[in-house]
Amino acid sequence: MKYKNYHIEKIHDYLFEIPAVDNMLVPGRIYVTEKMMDTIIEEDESIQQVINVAQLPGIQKYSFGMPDIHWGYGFPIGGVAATDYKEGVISPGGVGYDINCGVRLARTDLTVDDIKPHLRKIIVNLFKNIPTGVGSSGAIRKLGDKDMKRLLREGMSWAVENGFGDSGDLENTEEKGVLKQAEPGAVSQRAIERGKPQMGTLGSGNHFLEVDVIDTIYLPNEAEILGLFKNQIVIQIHTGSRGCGYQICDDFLKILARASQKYHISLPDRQLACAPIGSQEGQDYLAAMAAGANFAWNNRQVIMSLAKKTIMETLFISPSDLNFSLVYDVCHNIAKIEKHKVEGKERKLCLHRKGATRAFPPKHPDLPPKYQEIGQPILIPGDMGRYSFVCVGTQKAMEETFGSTCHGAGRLQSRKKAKMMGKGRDLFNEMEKMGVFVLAKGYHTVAEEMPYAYKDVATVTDVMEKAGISRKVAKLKPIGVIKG
Amino acid sequence: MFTKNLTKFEEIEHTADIGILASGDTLPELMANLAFGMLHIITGDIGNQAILKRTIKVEGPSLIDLIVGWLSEINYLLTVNHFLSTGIEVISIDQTFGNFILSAHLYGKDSTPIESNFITEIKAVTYHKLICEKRDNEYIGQVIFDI
Repeated sequence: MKYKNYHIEKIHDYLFEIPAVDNMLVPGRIYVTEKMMDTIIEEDESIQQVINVAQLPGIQKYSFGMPDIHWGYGFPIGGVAATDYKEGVISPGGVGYDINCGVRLARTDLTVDDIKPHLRKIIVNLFKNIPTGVGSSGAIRKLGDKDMKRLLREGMSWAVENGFGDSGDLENTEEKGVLKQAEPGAVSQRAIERGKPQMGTLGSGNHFLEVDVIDTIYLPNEAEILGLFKNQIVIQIHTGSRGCGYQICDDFLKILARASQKYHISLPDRQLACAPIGSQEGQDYLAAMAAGANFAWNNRQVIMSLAKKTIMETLFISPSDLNFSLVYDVCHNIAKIEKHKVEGKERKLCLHRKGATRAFPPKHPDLPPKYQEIGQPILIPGDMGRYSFVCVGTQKAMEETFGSTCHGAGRLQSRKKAKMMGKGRDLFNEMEKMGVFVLAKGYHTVAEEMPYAYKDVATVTDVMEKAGISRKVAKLKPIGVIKG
Repeated sequence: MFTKNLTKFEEIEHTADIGILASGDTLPELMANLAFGMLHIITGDIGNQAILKRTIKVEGPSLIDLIVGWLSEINYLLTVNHFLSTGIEVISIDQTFGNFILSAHLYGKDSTPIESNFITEIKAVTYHKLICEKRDNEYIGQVIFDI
C-alpha cells in the first residue's frame, strides 16, 4: 500500500509495517488505525523518524511507533527501539530531554462526595505547597552537593529516608525507584546546579498534578487488586527530572555527536547521536541518564508526599482516614537494560522508550508480588478536561513490543494555535463549567493545555487494547488540576 | 550593541513545542536576534534595563553547534543565575582549527522567574530543523526549542 511517499503494509486493523529498505536494518511497525495513519502522515514527519530509528546499529526486530506517535527530536514521541547490548548503540534521542518524565497514581479512601465541598480549598493549598510553572523552585530546602550526589546514585530511597513517603512506595515504583547504573560523577556540575533548587517541583508545559475520580471500572478484579473503586478520589502526578535531566541530555548530545563520528556511525539525523553501549561514551551516558532518572523518581516522590500532607491538613483527617498509598509509578522517557527473547533466545538489550510506557505481563519477576496476578499497572494521562486511563500489561506486549505500550494523548494543535484560540476567553471558567477547577501560574499554559489542543486519549488506549498489548482497567476523570 | 527588535524574529509553529525564525544583516546580529527571540518566548517583555555585564565565550565545531551552544548558555544564565540579557554585543565570531568561537558581552539584570512572570520554560535548544544560512544580503536562522 502506498501512503504518500511511504510504502506501508497493513498487518491487521491496528498494526502497519514499513518494510526494511535502503539503510533500514529492521522494518518499522506502527500501532494505529488506518484513519490515524492518514492523519499522522498528513501532519508531521514522525513516520520518517521511525525509518531513521530503524537505521541505528544493533536495533532488534522492529522500530516501533505507538498510537500516540508524533514528531520528536531524533526518535518520534511514542517511539520504542531495542538495541543489542553487545553490538548496539544507546542514544539520548531515544530518551528525550526530560529523562524519566513519568506518571504516578496514588489512591485514597476518599470518595467524590467526601471531597466535593472542599475541592477548591484543596486545590488552592496544593497550588500553594507544590511549586509549579517556569523555573519553579523552593518546594523543600535547596539541596547541597552531598544530597544531590546521594539521590542521583541511590534513587528514590533518598526521598523516603528524608521523610517523604514510606518504604512501601519503593515497591510500587518501576525499578523500585533506582537505576543502579547511575554514577553522579558522570553528571556535569551544570546539571547538578540546575537540579538543586527544583526538587519537588512540577515545572511547566504539560506537567500537572490532578485530583481525579474513578469514573469507570472495566476490569473489577484488576481494579480491586490495584485498590481502585468507582467514585474514589485518586491523585495523578506527571513530571520528570526538571533542569537536571534537560542538562544531562544537552551535555551528552554533544559528546555522543563526537562519538558517532569516532565510531563511524552514519546518522540520518543529528538528534540521533549515539555511541556503542559498551564504549566509554555509551557507558558514561548510561550512568548519567540513570542518575537523571533517579532525580525524577525523587521529584515525583517528594511532590506526592507534599500532596498527601496538604490533603490531610486541609480536611483535618488522619493518615488512616485518608489511607493514601502509591498505586504505581511509570517512566515514559527512558533507556533501560532489560532481557527479552529475540528469535527464541534470551538477549540483553537496551530498551529505548521515548514517550512510551513499559507494559510487563502477569508473573514477570520485575513486578511487585501484589501485581503478579494482573500484570504491570500502566498510567496513560489524557488532557486536563476529559479523562485518563489505568491499564495493565499483557504477555502479547512482551512478545510483540518488548513489553511496551503508549503513554498519552498527543497534541492536536500547536501551542501557538492553542494560545490563539484561547485569546479573549475565560478559560478557567470554561474548565470549571466542564467540572474541573484549574489553577495555573500562567494563562498561557492553560490556553496551551486546553482539551481542544489534544487528541482523544481513548482512541490511543483503544488501539493498544484491540491489538492485545495493554488492557484498560479504569477510567479517571479530573475534577481539580494544578499546572505551571 | 544589539537590543531586542521585534521585526527581526518571529515565533514559528511546531506541534508540541515552539521555534523562532530570525534574521540579521550580519552573523553577529543574527546571533543576537536568535537570543532575543528565545528570551521573548520565555519572558514576553524583557525591557531594556541593563545594570549588569557578563562576558561569555562559546565554542562549537560548526555554526549549527555554535548556535545551540550560544542559546543554551543564555538560557542557562537565566535559569540558574537569573541573569536576563537585555543588550548583546557580539565581540567576535572566529573560526580556528575547524572550531567556531563566539565572544560576547551580555548586558542585563537580575530576573527571577517569579518576579518577571516568565511564561515559558525552555528545556533545551534542539538541533531539530536548525537552519543557519546566508540568503541574498542577510543571515537567516531557525531554531526549535523543547518546552
